[in-house]
Amino acid sequence: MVVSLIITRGEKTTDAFLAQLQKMSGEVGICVLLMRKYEEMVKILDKKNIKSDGFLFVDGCSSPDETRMIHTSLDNLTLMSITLNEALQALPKERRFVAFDAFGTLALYNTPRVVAKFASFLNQHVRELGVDCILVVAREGLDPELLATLKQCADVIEG
Amino acid sequence: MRVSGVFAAVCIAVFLVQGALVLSPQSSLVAGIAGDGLSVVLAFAAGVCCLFVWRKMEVQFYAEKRGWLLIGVAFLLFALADGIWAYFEFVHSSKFPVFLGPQILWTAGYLFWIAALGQFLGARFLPSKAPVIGVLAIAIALALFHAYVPFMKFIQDGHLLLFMNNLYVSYDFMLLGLVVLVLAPFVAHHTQLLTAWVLLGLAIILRLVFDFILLNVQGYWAGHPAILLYSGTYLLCLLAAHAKLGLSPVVKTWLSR
Repeated sequence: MVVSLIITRGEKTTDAFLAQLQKMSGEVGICVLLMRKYEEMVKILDKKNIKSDGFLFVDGCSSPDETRMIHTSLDNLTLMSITLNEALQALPKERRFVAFDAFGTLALYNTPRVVAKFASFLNQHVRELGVDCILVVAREGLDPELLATLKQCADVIEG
Repeated sequence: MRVSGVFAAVCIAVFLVQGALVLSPQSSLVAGIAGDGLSVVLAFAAGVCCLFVWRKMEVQFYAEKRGWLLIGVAFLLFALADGIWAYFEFVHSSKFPVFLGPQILWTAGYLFWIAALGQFLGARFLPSKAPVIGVLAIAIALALFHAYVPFMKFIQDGHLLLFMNNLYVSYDFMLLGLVVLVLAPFVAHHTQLLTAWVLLGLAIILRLVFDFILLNVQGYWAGHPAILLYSGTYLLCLLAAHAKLGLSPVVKTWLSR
């Protein structure tokens, strides 16, 4: 069980996220899309030849009527916690992961303090479950308190 | 078909039979047995189905797992209380069967149910405790306000049964507060994985409406049509447990790839 924090430049977040998914290719896990829509991400994954069959997508950007992924809300973190909980319960019990494409995006819809609290909740939850967690964040504009919390939660920090 | 699916199908059929018997012109005995007797079956099935969820859930989801255990025990207590009540009512034609027996079980059932909802809330991320404290403070205040007069009467005349009957409304206020908190995140948004929670919330609302009718309608009798709200609570909870045990279509699609 490892919590990884990937700090990168804003324009490199998608590449950083894809690089992490490349490592997870063939494994089973949840991809939480906060910046790009499911359709767009699947196309990128196909283009990069990243096997995404094992990825269950939780999407905060697409319409709730889209049936091939699980919709969630960016400004309702209680709902997101319930959605992730339900999605994690649906996954096979073997090695599993949860990856966020741009965790800092949540701070656009919630106060940084609440997002930091959510990160702490998530950290505790994935540790209890023994789930790998990958958080990709853009360095620019990230609240210092939020960044400090994310660093405290992480076992591995890149960037 | 999964075991919970069989349970759900049988219980829907039982509920429909109960509805047909209660709503159609029948003798009061048939309507009474259909009303009170079949509610016992539904309560028992709901309790067992909730215990299935408890057994199946991974231990790491401990708060939610404990919640399903508590709710399962609550419904089994309700089933036992309903069963004792129905037995004495129909076999012994007794209005107040074994004095406090069913009341104690119903009270314990409500307390387990309230505790279960507390566990479910504890498993969620809450950005701020203020709304939770606010809603619960209002619910507790209403519960205490409603219990005050019956409590004073109990002190004066020592009529415990009447006091315990009045307390159910106080429990309802607590359940109402908790169900507001359980359902609040889904009011403005929805995802595809919320079926169980919405059904669980609706079940509580049905029970609240039933208790309101029971309190305000003069001349409630065994086999009263409102019993469908009471047994509907059990049916919805059973369906919630069934939904929890199954996979949503989006996960099924994903797993089948």
